[in-house]
Amino acid sequence: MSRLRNVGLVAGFDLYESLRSLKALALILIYVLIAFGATALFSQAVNGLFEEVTEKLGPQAADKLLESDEMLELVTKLTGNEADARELLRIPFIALFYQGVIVTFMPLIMVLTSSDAISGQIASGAARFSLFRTDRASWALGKLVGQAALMMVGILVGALVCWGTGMALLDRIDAANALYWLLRMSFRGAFYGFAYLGIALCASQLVRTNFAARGIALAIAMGCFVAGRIFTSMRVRALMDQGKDLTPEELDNYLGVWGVLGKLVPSGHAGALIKPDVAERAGGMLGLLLIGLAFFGLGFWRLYRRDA
Amino acid sequence: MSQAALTLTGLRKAYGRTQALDGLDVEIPKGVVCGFIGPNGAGKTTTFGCIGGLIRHDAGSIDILGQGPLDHGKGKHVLSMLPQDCDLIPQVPVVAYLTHLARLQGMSKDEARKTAEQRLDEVALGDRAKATIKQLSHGMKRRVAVAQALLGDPQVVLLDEPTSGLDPDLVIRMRELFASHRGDRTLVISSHNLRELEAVCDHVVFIQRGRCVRSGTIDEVTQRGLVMRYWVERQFDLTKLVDKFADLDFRGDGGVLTVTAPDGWTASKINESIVPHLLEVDAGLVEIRHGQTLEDVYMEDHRG
Repeated sequence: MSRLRNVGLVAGFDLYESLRSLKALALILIYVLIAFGATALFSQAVNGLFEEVTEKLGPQAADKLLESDEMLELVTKLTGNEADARELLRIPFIALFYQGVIVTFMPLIMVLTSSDAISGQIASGAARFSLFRTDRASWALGKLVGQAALMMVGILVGALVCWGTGMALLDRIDAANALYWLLRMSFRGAFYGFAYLGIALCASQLVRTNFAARGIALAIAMGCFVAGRIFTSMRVRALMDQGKDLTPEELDNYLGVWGVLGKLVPSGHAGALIKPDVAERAGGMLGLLLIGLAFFGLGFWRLYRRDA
Repeated sequence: MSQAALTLTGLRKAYGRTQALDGLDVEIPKGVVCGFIGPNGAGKTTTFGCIGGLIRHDAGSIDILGQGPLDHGKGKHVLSMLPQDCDLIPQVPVVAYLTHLARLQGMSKDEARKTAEQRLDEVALGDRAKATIKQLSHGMKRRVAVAQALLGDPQVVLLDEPTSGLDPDLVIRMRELFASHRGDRTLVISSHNLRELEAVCDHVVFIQRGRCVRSGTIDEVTQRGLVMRYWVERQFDLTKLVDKFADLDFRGDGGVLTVTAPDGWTASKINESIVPHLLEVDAGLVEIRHGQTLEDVYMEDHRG
């Protein structure tokens, strides 16, 4: 009980000190800039697309574009099955886009901003004021929870900026529905971010300097990115070889050990975050959570044994 | 129930090929203010780190108040420390920081806030409670670090160089603060300022190359009661004294006459015997000191 209490105390204080630092300001600024810039570009592209459709097919066709059979057929071809396509078409463009922003930028943001969370305090000695008061596991877990909370703040601020920008620039947007889906996608995206937070804190526990921690975290994240690309290309190739009617289980069976290895990197679960099936989605989130915890645990294995 | 606050047995710690602690055996009684003395690299900071669980020792055992090594799972916060060369988190207000640290010791928010404010008053920083750490001077930060070590009611407090960088008046204030805890808890103070330690400690431990070379009460270590030293301005012949007091040992070194007595003598008895003679021979007596200083003992060990 006291350990759990201390995890909460360390997490709360970590969030408090982060929010008082320039680091938090910089982090939130990064989220705001990325969300604003990307959404502005996205809005421009979507408006252009609808203008073109309106020009060529008339305003009614543009209104019904997303509900049309042609669109469903097109997206079904892209996703491989109709259920996924229907789910994608149900989600507002802007929310899907924001999910993409999270998946694209979160790895770098987490690696750059969180990899000093533990190494920084070990290097400065500030950690020692806490480490004779509480055990290392509670302290490190508290740091993980605190950084996860900070990440969540960033993602939510980004979502609000994305929504505000969309409201201002998009010609066609259902405000309430967009906000609802943006919040849902923020929650799902946080799991993707958590996997990379685990990588950042793994590196932060392995070494004493922020520079080294950042370097190691970047290297692991890059490794995951490259591995993810390789596994994705293997899946695409398998689909092309075997035909697109393969179920995910059949595809995994076909890929064998490569299919399993593909699940060991965050990108192996990114697709599951927009699946209509709750179990499949929850499986993806759980996978990302476990990847984050596994990396964090690997770092803690070292922190536990070394001098603080 | 153990009477020792701290018992270290055969403590060993190596950093690569450097043996920082080489079978350190130390016992520090409960309720004393103990000076932990040794040259740079003797292993003082490593010892504190091992006791506080910050440094993993390779072999040996640590016993705190007869309860074994520090165990956070046991609930009660028995040990606190001021680690060496540690920066406080700069952007946090002082009182919020101390409150957080006190809460980690198991206190409620109100209790923690109260003890934080109390300790800040004790280190003369009550008026800077709401300032952030980065707004404080080096000396003030040091005092905040001392305050955090005294939060709550720890039975054993390890202080590594607590007065380094402090003005003389603050050093005196800190010394008084440490002395005020005598009897209530055990304070172990590592410092290079031996005069300061001599003024506040009643027990000392000397370590060298990771081993304990001397320990005991300050009276035992400085041989108070057995040794008297007389500072004189002029040379004089010692023969008469040696002849007259055959059981005393006389050593003249520059302007200092050191007299060592066997058991049964007291400081006043030595003075009654020696001082009249020094006045008689017009040696120019300017100062009398009881026992050796810690500096003398330290130098003796160091030369040895």
